[in-house]
Amino acid sequence: MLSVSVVRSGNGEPLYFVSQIEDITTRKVMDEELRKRDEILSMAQRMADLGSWEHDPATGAMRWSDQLYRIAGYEPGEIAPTMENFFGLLHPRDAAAVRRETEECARRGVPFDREFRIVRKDGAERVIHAQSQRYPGGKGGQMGGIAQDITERKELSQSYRKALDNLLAAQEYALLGNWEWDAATGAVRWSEQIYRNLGYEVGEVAPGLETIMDRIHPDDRARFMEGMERSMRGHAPFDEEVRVFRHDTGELRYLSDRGMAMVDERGRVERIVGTSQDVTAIRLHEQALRESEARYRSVVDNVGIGVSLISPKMEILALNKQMRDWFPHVDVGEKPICYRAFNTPPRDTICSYCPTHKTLEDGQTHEAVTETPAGEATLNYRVVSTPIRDDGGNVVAAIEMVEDITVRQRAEEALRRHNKELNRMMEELKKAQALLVRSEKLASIGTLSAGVAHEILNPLNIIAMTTQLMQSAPDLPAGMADRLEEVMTQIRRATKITDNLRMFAHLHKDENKFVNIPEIFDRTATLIEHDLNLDNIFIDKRFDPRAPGVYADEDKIAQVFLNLLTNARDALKGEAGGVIAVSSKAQDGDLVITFSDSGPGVPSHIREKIFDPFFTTKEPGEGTGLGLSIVHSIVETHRGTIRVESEPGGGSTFVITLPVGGRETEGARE
Amino acid sequence: VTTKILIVDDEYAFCKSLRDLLTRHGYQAILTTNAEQALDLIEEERPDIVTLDIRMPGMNGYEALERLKERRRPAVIVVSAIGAPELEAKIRAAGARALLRKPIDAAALLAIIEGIVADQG
Repeated sequence: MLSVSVVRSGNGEPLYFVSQIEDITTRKVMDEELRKRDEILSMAQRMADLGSWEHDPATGAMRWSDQLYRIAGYEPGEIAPTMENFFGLLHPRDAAAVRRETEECARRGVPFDREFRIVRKDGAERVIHAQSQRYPGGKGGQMGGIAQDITERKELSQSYRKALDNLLAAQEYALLGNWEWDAATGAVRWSEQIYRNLGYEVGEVAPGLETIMDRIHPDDRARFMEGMERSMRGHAPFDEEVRVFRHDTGELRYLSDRGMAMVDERGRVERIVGTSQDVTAIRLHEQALRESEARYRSVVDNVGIGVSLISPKMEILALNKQMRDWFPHVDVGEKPICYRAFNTPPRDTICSYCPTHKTLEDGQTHEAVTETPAGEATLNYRVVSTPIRDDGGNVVAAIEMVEDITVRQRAEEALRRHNKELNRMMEELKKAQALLVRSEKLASIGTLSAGVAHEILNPLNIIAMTTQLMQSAPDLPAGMADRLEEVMTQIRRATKITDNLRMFAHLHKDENKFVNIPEIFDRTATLIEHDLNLDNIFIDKRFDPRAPGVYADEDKIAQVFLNLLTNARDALKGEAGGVIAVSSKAQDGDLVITFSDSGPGVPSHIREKIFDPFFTTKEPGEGTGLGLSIVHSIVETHRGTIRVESEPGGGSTFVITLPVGGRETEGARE
Repeated sequence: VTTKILIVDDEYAFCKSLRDLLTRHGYQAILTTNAEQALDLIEEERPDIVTLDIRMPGMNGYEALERLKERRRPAVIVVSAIGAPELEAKIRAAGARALLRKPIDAAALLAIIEGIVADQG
């Protein structure tokens, strides 16, 4: 009976088999059993990729197992199983050493156990682990051994080693150390990086909780211990970030410690394994980022315009303070759709003008101005959208900036209005200035005239008196009486001229009060009625009883009426049954007074001039040329206007427009 | 008894013409071109009527008129180139019997004088 047990190496691979054979019958049976045993062994060797050999130095006989041939890259029996052929397989770099050690083993029984390289028949290089020894009971140095192709294992081991090296390098680079705490012994094991993270040389201190606690910021110690204890009880993974003071520099660093309890089959904590990473750089970056973000947020919040971040699906991702103030109901956390959230009532479709939608589609900046009804007013918003792109240049969102430009637009409108008003006032000022210049001119003429008139009156008085003395002479020569009467006529004419001139001096004194136009007219008309009756001229009065009074200087208005009546009378001279039509009526806040006569009219080419001082159409000696000028001047000082309308042969109409009510007349001047 | 008239005016030529005219109409006329002298002459000559100019160098006619205010004689006829209504009111208040605008209408003046003479009896 044959029993076989497998002897395995440390990593579980079969190394060799041990068999026991019990002689139960005849030799033949034994041989049969031996053959079987060889077959089984061969099969086992093949399965384990294990070759074997035997060598008898005395006879030089050598036996290679089939698998040994295969390890060498040959078919079993393809080459002779000799020592020289074996040595011929060796890699040139290893050949000398292997040959020497093999001979040592044969000669002196030093066991051979080493790895070496061979070159297969096909040229492939393989790593072999071989062991050989002299048979303990063998005579003449009989020896044997096994060989195993460990190329793959070697490669695996090397790549594992490399991976481990990489891992350690990565840990070092990441300032990541790992540690282990044994619950039974309380022993702590650290990787090198743990020392470095705490500012120690590797091995400078004994790994342990106390060493760590010494370095932890006092405010963080209790939290760290609590976390550790929770983990020891096995209830929670350990995850604490603590501040430590480095041993070497005293610098404050942030360590992120994470760990997990390992429990045995009964649920008891055996140990805690974990990592400790210096995350100071990350924390400082985060802090800088937070500060930076806070700064930008503050800017964006206080910029006075609404800012939203809109996704390509038109979701609201973020809002600044202005937008939150405008839309307090919008919760960014729900990623609401902008055209629903921003409109009341909510819209179901994208707003037609939406610049953000355009920006998200074409990646360009777009702008629009919207009008939002708010009660009676309309609010105007300027919306500008700009794209946000990822590193690949794809538009991932849009920033939508909304500015309330209502106030600005209103201000601009007000500015335009004020400008217009200003222009209008400028125009009025120009007109007033022109009037002033004209009035000043008239006033100067008036002052001058009054002085001249007075000085002329005295010589005229002497002439008049002397003339009258001569007229009273009893023995006046024939023809002299007529001549002297003509002198007197001329004296009266000169006197009338000086009287009119003196009128100018008194024009610019205002004695304004609320006056009744028809009353003033009636009073004035009585002064001239006698003359009019003589000339067969009649007055047709048509004053509107509802026409308002005006704020004016009564005497000056009377002067205006007198001059216009005189003017009309002169125009009607020689016409039978002439009529002067006078009317008043209210019109656009003004009082309009007209004086019409059926005289010959005013030719258009002199219509502009008739109000100029000293302009007259009358025969020399008939007028002073000041009557209408005085009228014009008086009307202007009352902020009124006067114009003449005339059709050739159809008479003339003077139209006076005076402002109604208490409006100030132009300031009184001496 | 002949009515005596004092002519007061700074224009001597006017004074002479008026004096001759009044003389021709039977009045006794004296003249001066100075208001202060006029006051003296009124005391010395006791005229019945004075024709008084207003604008004169030195004492003006208005001041002279004020001095004569309370006296019954002479009656004062103001002769002035100034014709403002307010002046007329002041002159009448100061006791002038009449106001004549220059240039003087001789017929009007003679009529006023006749009236005064009739009043004075």
